[in-house]
Amino acid sequence: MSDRRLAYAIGIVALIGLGVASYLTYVHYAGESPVCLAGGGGCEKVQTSHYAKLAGIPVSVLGLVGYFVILVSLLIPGETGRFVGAFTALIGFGFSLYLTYLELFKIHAICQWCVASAVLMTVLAVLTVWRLMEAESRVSTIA
Amino acid sequence: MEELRERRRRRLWLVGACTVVAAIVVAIAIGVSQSDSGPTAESLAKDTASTNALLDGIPQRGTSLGNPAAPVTLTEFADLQCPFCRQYSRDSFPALVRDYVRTGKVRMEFRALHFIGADSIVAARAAGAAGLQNRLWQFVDLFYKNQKDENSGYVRASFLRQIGAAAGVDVARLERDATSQAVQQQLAAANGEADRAGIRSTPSFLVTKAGQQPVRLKSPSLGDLRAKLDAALGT
Repeated sequence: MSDRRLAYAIGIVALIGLGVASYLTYVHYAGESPVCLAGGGGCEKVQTSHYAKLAGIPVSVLGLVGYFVILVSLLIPGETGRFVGAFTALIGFGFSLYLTYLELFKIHAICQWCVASAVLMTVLAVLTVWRLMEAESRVSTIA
Repeated sequence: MEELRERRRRRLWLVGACTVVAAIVVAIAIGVSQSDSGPTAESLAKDTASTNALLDGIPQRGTSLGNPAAPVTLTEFADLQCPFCRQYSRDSFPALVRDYVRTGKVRMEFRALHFIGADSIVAARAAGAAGLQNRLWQFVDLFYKNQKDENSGYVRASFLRQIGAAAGVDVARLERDATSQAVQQQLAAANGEADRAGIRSTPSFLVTKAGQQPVRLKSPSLGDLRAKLDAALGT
């Protein structure tokens, strides 16, 4: 896949992620319950658990920042932009693994929005690392 | 060709280093999230002020809150780890205290059940011990305000000391009494009462009036509770 196509794909996935994180941030500060498609209150249980904050910062805000940084990294030219994107997505992927573990084994509830975000961040980790590797080999081949 | 291989190797190293650094950042963040040792002094002071505003001046003895001669008794069966019990405590309890207990119409009784896990037993014993100092209701209200996830291990001695001190109990005595025979018997009696009443979940309630069959309520709304209390009071 070309660098341009990878950048587009990353942009689209990060924008969807930004939407999910924005919604979760909004419901957190508005004191509302997230709309859980299957019902059952899983989203509310996860959102109101004490794991929903990290050092006092709502996890959804951290996600918002992560997706935003990945989007901005697409505007940074060259290797620096690709590196920032991959590094941020890898941190996001690690967090997603941890948060999914908490949902399954500590909170005993699944929030579909959080699962969606975890899937998006996993896709972003793959795409950004792919872009980082691809760009170099292409430059090398041309050289 | 050699240069290409060298660049590729360097890039793999970079991705590997990037992954390791990302893992370290995540590990530190997880460490920070797990080192959360309890409520802050500021949040606890705020909780204590609202609990005291709600309960100050209401007679309290052991597990009872309110006028001992009240015509109707509302008995709450709860597990301190239960999130729905916290929800009741936050959404319904203050209004019931204000409208029924403070006015002398209803007496409340607390029965600490402990089936969710090991933390429930420790919490129930501490609540029972606070009852021996006639501060059970402050303890329970503050516990709910600072409740965390079930069985996440937060009900440690330090947490109970914080809640106990905020509830105005002698903390050293609370720790001694928590394992006393009196408290053990109190918990066993609560279990027996729940069994006899057919209570299988929390929060559950019994609305009792002398000469009448008790009315059992399972996770009721504030409206349900008001309706049953009003019916029992004949208002």
